[in-house]
Amino acid sequence: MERKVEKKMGENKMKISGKRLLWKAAALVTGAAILAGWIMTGRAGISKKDQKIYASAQKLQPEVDRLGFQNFKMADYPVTMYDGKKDYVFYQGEIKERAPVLETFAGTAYPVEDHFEVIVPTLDKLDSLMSLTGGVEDMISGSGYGEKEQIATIWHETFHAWQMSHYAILGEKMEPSELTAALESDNTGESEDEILVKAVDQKDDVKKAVEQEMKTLKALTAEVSIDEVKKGVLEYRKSVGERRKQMPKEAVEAEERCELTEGTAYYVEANVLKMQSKSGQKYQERYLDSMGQFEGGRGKYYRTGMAKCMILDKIDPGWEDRIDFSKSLDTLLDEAVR
Amino acid sequence: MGIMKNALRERIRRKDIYVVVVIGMIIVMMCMSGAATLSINGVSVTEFEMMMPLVMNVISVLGGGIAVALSLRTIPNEYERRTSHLVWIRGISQWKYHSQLALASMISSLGALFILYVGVLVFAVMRGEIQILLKGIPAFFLFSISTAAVSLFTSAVSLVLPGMAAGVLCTAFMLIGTMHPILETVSGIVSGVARGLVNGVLFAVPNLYGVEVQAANLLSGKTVQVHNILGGLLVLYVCAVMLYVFRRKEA
Repeated sequence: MERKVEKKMGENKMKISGKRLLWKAAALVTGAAILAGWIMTGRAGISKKDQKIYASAQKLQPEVDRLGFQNFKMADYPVTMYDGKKDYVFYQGEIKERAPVLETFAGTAYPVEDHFEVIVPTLDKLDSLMSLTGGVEDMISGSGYGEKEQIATIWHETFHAWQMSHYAILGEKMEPSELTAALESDNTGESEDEILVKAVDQKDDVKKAVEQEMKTLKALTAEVSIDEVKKGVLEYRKSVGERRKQMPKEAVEAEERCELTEGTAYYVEANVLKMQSKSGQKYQERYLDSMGQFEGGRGKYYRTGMAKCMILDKIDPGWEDRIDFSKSLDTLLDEAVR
Repeated sequence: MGIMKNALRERIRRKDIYVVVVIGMIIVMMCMSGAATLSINGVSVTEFEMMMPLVMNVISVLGGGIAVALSLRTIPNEYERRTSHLVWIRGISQWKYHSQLALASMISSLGALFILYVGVLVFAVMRGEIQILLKGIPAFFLFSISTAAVSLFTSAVSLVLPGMAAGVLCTAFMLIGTMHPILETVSGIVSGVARGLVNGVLFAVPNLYGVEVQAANLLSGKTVQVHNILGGLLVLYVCAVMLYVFRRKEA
């Protein structure tokens, strides 16, 4: 009798442990299946949306050619999109993945080995970044930042890559290796932004003069009569000359350099956005309406530089074909009204 | 199943769950009714399609908070009241006991989440978005994955850590998991030690937002990403494994 009970208990234990084993196996298989599915569905590479943005940007080349800048071709420069983890480099019809060169979210033209590359964050990252920061220098916030604006930004940065690759800007040319060395060195000197804040933003009379000049430039971009534009430019140049007497030489240089490099790039960016929309409403809101708006640091010179490019369009057509970045935009204006 | 049923009955008897749910519903209703002003880039957000993902976010954080609150003390209370001894003498294993209590906490957390979620559906119907009702149930399954994971994680951690430490850890797990994409962006802005720290946190805490947002995608007719759903299920699975592995010494 006892043996029978023991035998039955033994059978029950076996049944229980068999059932447990089955449960454990099922749980293990489930876990493995979820893991495998998760790995397999993991997105490899750059998103379709970002690929489309690059393709659309490239398609604008014939229209950008009409702006007139000689040999300014997007295809000449690798365009890199950084998604926070990896760089995706678009170049010569291929997309290559690599470890990030610049581990930060920035739209820039950056030296990589022996050449300059365009580096921008992916649109999703930029969206997320802007929702955190409320926009960058008030330039890309406001009426929303989407695919068209991203395309315009890519062209802006490509313009910088072209400037740095081909020209000595105001007589200064830096090879990619030199720029890399300069960026890597512990240079504790004042940045261009700091110089301009001290010399312009923090000096009430200088700031007021710049605000007035910005309004004058905005009005001149809208002026139809060429004679009136030329007259306005002469007055503007006189006022700038007076103001700059109160500023240190390095601040004047920073102002001219920023207008020349960023102003022209901003002009290209604005035109690229204009090319993409029929109504021109976004172009009007983002670039023209804010043209007279003062902004701290370098930001205002994007606008004054663009305004000068638009004035040159009126009084010196074809200036884009001839520009070699050896002279400031003010010098080009002076030559055009002489 | 008896253990789970008893634990659920106790949950229903306790008043704290109702208080939390009522407060949550008031917040949700305020967001949806326009009494609370919401704006992005200075533009008021009033469109239902724009508002829904934001309100879903609010609900997920509230739901996660409720899950932590409901799951944190369930198992430790049973041990403190020595109820566990009555269970051991019946030959019930620790895993079975813990899992049934954890399941009771999870079900009550999901119940609270469902009440908040129904608030969104009611508001959608009032705004004439009736088509959302059809997708409402599958969307809730997606939406509940992260809350279920938070509840299981809390139950597991409460087995090995003292109350306060477990509470802080689980709240951090829930908040960081829900804010994962924001922290990913922050990691790209900061540098040096801060960057290493943010990356470490992002590596340690799974992205709960990824699966939550799929529910909003389903409701608003956007593409649902299977990868993120599987990611959420994987987190849920790992939390269940933690509950199985972690044991109480005094048992």
